[in-house]
Amino acid sequence: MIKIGAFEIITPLGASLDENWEAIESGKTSLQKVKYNDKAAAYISRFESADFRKLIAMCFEQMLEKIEVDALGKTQVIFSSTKGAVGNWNHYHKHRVYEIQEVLDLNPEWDQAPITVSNACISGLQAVEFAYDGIQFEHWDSAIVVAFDEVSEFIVEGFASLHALSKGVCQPFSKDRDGINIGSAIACAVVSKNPVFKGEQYRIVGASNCNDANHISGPSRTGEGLYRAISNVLKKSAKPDFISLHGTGTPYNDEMEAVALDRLGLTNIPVHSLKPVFGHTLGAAGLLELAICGRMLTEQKAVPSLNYKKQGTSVKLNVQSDFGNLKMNRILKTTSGFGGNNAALLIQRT
Amino acid sequence: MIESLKVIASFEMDQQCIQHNGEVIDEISFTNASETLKERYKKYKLKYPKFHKMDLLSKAVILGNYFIKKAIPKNSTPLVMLFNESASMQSDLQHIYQYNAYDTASPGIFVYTLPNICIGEVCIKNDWKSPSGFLLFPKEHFEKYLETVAIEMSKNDSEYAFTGFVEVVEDDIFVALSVLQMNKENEGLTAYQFYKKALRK
Repeated sequence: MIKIGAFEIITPLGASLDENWEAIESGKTSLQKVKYNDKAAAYISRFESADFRKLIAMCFEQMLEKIEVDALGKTQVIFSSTKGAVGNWNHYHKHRVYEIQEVLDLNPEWDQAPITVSNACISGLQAVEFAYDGIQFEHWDSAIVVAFDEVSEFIVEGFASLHALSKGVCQPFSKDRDGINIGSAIACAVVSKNPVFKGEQYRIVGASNCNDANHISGPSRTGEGLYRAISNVLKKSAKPDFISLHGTGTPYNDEMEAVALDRLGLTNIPVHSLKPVFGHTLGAAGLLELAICGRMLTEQKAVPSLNYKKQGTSVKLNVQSDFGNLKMNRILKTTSGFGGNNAALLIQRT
Repeated sequence: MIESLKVIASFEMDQQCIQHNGEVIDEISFTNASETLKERYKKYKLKYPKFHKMDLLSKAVILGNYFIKKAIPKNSTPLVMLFNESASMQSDLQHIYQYNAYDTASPGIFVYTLPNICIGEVCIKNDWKSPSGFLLFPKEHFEKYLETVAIEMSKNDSEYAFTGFVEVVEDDIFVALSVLQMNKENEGLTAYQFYKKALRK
């Protein structure tokens, strides 16, 4: 059995998974109104004056405390990021995303060639998929996944030029949704077939990704890629009890997800988006949000989809409105991204 | 497992020449990648107007695709995985320059500030609803890249993969693409041999 566990996250809401979960229980969001140039403001989630690289190292160390390092066996390190931990933007042209390994205390017995996934917004979830596949096909016993991305002028100006930024906190699946929020986050986890986990651990039932082959920055109207990715995962599983969608809050993305779920006959299943809590954390999103799904399974509590007011998708979704008890055995996590990517992964209570 | 990956078509391009299946078919005489790619688009009659809006990574992949795509049977959906060292650096620097100089970014540049967009472009052109991914490695870790390709081909039951290294550094391009087939019986260049030579590692 291949499991994922030892989730640890650091976001502007909290310096650990426990702190973040407490904040979620209180209905908090990490999004705040910030001026990003002389004329415009947006709701953004960012670390105030923190050294992002130091935070990544901290998250990594905290994650290691949740496992028996000696039990890992043959270990692969996998990074996920769209822009990397840039540090000094004046030296950006020399920057390499995988140089993050320089600030991490990587065990010399682990494989010396980390894999870095830079596949837009599905990267975090896809990194877990690769970790799982590598174990399944007996290339390694364990994989350590480190996902990170931070808000920058680069990203905010870019999405502003696409008119993709929300004027407020995003409203996934809602009639009046008007765009995304950008967020910073770090997430780490371990995937393993060995008994490494000291605490929370969940079985990975399946993972898949599929390209829409339709448009480089807009999703397929029929949700083809997401439909196929989820179908592949559900070949090995009963239906999930909850679906944590990508739900960025753009008119196109949320509609696409509703269409895909409709095609799959899954629209009755409770869903949420975590983007109103953390913002869209890009290369960290898939793993960050999967960590919350894990905690939902442990606590048997559903995290709501904040800011949902009126149905805004052509097919009605069962949007979770309250933080409350919910019996769940399986949660499906999905992500979609620029370049036509879609990924799906299902975890099960052990 | 990477020993079972065989090259059935390849495309290489650098400042000197273009090679198709290991043979030089074109000498390069232009001063920069942008010009070179534009001229090759005309020379080989690519007839794909979207080309002109693409970034250099995507143009390079679309050009390579022109030569090697036919090695993949029409009804087959290959795994598509590419890698490089600097991600979308070229487009990133253009984007930074743009919003600093003009106070607003250009959406046409910004959409290419992700290295995987070139994968999106080739999947769109070929209608490949494929499993896909863009990875970052220093060139010397190409074996780890091939290992990841092999794992994903097994996982997805993909007989073919569209793979390669596509890098743009300061207006110069370095491209080594190949179509790989899993478990191809006869003698032939292995993926390891091709990339070791092509990446000069």
